[in-house]
Amino acid sequence: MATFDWLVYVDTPAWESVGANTIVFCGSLTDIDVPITVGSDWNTGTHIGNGDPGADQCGAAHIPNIAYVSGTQFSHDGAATETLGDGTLLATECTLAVEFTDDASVAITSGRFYCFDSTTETTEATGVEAWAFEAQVAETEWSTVCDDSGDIGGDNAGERLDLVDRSASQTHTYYIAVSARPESVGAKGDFDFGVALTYS
Amino acid sequence: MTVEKQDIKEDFYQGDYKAIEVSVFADKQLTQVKNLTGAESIDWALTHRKDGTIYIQKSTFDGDTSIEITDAANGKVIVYLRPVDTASIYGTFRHQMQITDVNGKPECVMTGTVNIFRSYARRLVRGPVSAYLVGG
Repeated sequence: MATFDWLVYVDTPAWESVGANTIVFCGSLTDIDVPITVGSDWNTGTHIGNGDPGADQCGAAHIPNIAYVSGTQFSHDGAATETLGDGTLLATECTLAVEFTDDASVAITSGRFYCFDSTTETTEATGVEAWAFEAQVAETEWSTVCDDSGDIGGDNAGERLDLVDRSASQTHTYYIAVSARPESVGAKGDFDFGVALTYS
Repeated sequence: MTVEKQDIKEDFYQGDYKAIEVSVFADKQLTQVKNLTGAESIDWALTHRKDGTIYIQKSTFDGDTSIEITDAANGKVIVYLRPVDTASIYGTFRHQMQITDVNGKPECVMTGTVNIFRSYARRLVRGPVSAYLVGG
């Protein structure tokens, strides 16, 4: 049977399943409750919470925070700006990993990562701006996955992160960095990520 | 009364969405439908043709909406196969349906075979995760 598992690099640190928790973008590396300043700031911290946001479930080490700087640059945990690439953004520094498994060895095509409003896959998240990047596949640029004011986002061509095709295997893991910020003051709960792919 | 050889004649492919409508009969001659009014539960299983390994089970008793009585008086039941039910299996299988009647008495009312062809075509799957942030 084909299954997805969403993973984050936390606690020990090690890859752990998000399960029923929520990926929370906030204004602090250590405090899940700090909001992101509207107007300019990107996420300063990334955590998993057991609600919106609920209590921090990261444990000893929080999710690595990757912040958008420019179309080809990022900052890891507030450190100096770096250029996106396989040697600079490691798998264990990514916001999340998506693991797809099947009983059979299957090839993957048409894989994509998108941001939607929790209800309709083709509708962007409400009040959110976000960029995403697939690491360790020789990519060098962010892809926009949400710009609510610009009506961009959801599982739509050109408004999502297209994932690299994979040859046959029982397990496929995608390492993805995400940077997000609010477009206005207030909670942004109509906000989910999704992965879709075809396998054969 | 168990009516044998109630084969599901429409072959289909693994991972397909299928709504299989079956009629439950009270006699082997298939002349009298079984009235399912008040039945406590309908249970259906798909098993290996020889060793009885169970691949799919559905039961109205569990609140499973993928099996339902659509016309109780005329013995009509629909079994909904979701893509995930058959995504990993193909071949010839046996199916069984059991009814627990209004008096709580269970009975296997039908058995038969079903063919599921292997699919080489691509299948689309999705998976979401919840996210959140606050602007301040």
